[in-house]
Amino acid sequence: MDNISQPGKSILLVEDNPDDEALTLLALRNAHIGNKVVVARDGVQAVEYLLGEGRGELPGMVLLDFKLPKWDGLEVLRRLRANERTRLLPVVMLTSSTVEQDVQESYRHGASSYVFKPVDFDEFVAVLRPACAYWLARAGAVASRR
Amino acid sequence: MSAKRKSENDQLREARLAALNLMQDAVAARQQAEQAAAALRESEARIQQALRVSRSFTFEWEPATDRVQRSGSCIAILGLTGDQAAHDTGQQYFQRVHPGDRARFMQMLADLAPTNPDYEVTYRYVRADGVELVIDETGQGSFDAAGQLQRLVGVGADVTARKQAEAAAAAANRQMQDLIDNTTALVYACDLEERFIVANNALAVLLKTTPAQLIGKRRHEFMPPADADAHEAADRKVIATGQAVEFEEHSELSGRSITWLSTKFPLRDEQGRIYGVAGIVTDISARKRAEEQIQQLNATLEQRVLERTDQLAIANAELEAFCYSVSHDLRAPLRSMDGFSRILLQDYAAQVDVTGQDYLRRVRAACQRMGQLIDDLLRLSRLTRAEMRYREVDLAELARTITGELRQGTPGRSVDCQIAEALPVMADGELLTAALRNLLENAWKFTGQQAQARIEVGMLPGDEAPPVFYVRDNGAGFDMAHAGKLFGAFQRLHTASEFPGSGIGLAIVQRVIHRHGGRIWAEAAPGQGATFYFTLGAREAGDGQHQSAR
Repeated sequence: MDNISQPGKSILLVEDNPDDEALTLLALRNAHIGNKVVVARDGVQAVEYLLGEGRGELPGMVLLDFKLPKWDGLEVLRRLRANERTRLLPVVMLTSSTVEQDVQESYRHGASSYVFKPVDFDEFVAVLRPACAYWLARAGAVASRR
Repeated sequence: MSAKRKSENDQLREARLAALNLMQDAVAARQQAEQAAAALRESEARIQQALRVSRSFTFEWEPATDRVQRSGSCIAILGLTGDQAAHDTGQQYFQRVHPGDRARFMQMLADLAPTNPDYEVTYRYVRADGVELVIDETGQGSFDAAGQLQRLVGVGADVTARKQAEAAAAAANRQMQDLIDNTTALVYACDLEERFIVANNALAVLLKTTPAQLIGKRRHEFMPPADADAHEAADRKVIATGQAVEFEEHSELSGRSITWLSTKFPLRDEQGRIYGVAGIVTDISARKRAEEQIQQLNATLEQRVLERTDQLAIANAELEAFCYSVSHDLRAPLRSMDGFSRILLQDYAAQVDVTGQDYLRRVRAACQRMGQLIDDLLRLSRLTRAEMRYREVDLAELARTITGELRQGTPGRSVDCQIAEALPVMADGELLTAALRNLLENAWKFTGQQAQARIEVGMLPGDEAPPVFYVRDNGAGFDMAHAGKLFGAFQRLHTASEFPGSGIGLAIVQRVIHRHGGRIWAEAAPGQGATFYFTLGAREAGDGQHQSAR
């Protein structure tokens, strides 16, 4: 991964689709978010990474896809919120669904933000950037890449 | 004075006294006789008056002399002159008896005998002036030792008027009987003792008898006691309350279940006193069966509706799942195409020539367009499924808000908006806003090439129900030959380079209008603008009667 500097905390990206994984990484690059990105490819992996044995330092935030194999985004969120360690960890939901019910369910389960992934890549960059910047700043972990 | 003279004088005086007494007696006797005669005359006058008033006359006939003596009242009744009356004979009288009744009359006379001296006879009598009377005659014969009729004494009465009245009553009665005999309903009337005073043929047939047989009898002679008691009880209730009643009852008759509709009402005389009860009973079995069939059909229909509703719910759920899937999955590949094209343009611009870069831009445009189509499709599908929430909405106010937004969004445009003052309707505010927004956006868009663009929103004049609203513009319009395609999803009448758009707008409008139970249609011509008319079903605001009747 092309991270010139990796100060601050990492970002955990939970994404099963390799295309979306690549696109999100590219979008973060275009949004000048320079933090290290760790990728988990399903819900179980994500929870294992954050709460399992041999876990490391907590990331500054999580970008969590809504639709995932095994445990879906909401299930992961529920487990994170149920654990003292990750109860307040910023989790931004990433989804291509505009279904209002999904938005509400996400917030009800304790999502920090809800980011809709538009078809237009530039629009995606435009919405991803402030969401990440905000939550990383709250975590004192923003790493601007200039 | 001498003793002799004295005695002569005494004798004279006595004789005078006696004569005086005799005279007084005679005067008294005459007075008494006069009084008796006066009483007799008075009595005679009374009798004559009574005879006149009752249109009767007395007579006395001696067969031996054929002489007839009658009371004076006969003159007026029989149409005789005083002279004719004085000299009338029995034989002359018999000639005036109606030929149709004469033989019977004569036979009656011939039959009189000491053992059969009394008679009563009614016969027709023809007056000299041709008028026909009905005479009611009562008499008595007296006979000699040999049994020969000596005298006939009697009273004749002119009963023509009474007989006519009786005939009229009988005719009216026949007419009523004909009327009630020719209906299939059972018609009857009973007196206060529950005896039939009227009964029609239908009732008699049902009770296996004749109407005449029923008259004067109670139901118990014709039906099981329990039934008869029940019917009488219902009758008596009507008599007791004086109120008409209507009710349905069932009976099993020769293996057939019959439903009757009974109407019972009290009968009152001229003084308003109840003298009986009448009933009209109709066999409504056929109607009942039809009603039951309708109920059954309704139940079946309801069942079918329930089944269909279930099927619809399943279909809806499937659609929901499909939409969910579309919103998630269909966009993902588009994102990849757009995103990687973008990165190619950004990171690999040196390796891709200008034509290649143009193609990549086209790929991105197509992706975004498809993303838009997916969004529109989802929107349309949501409009179909969302629950309707009716409230009062002012179409005019809504139009002003939307045109205001359009004006802000395109500051360069100058559009003359003519919007009615107020157009209150009952509608789902969200759906109606979506529909009106689409209509106004269209109008806004298609007047883009007009120097003096004008958009009107209003209601057609007249009191049509439901009212017809319209959105009119003086824009590009379209050929009515293609109007059939107008409201189909993704149907476009203009090329994207002329006017952009996905072609979903009017499909949304139509869906919204249909969900309100309304209609939408358009009138247009190329270059002459377009008018979209629509109604919103029957739930118009201010239509208070419809509202409250619901």
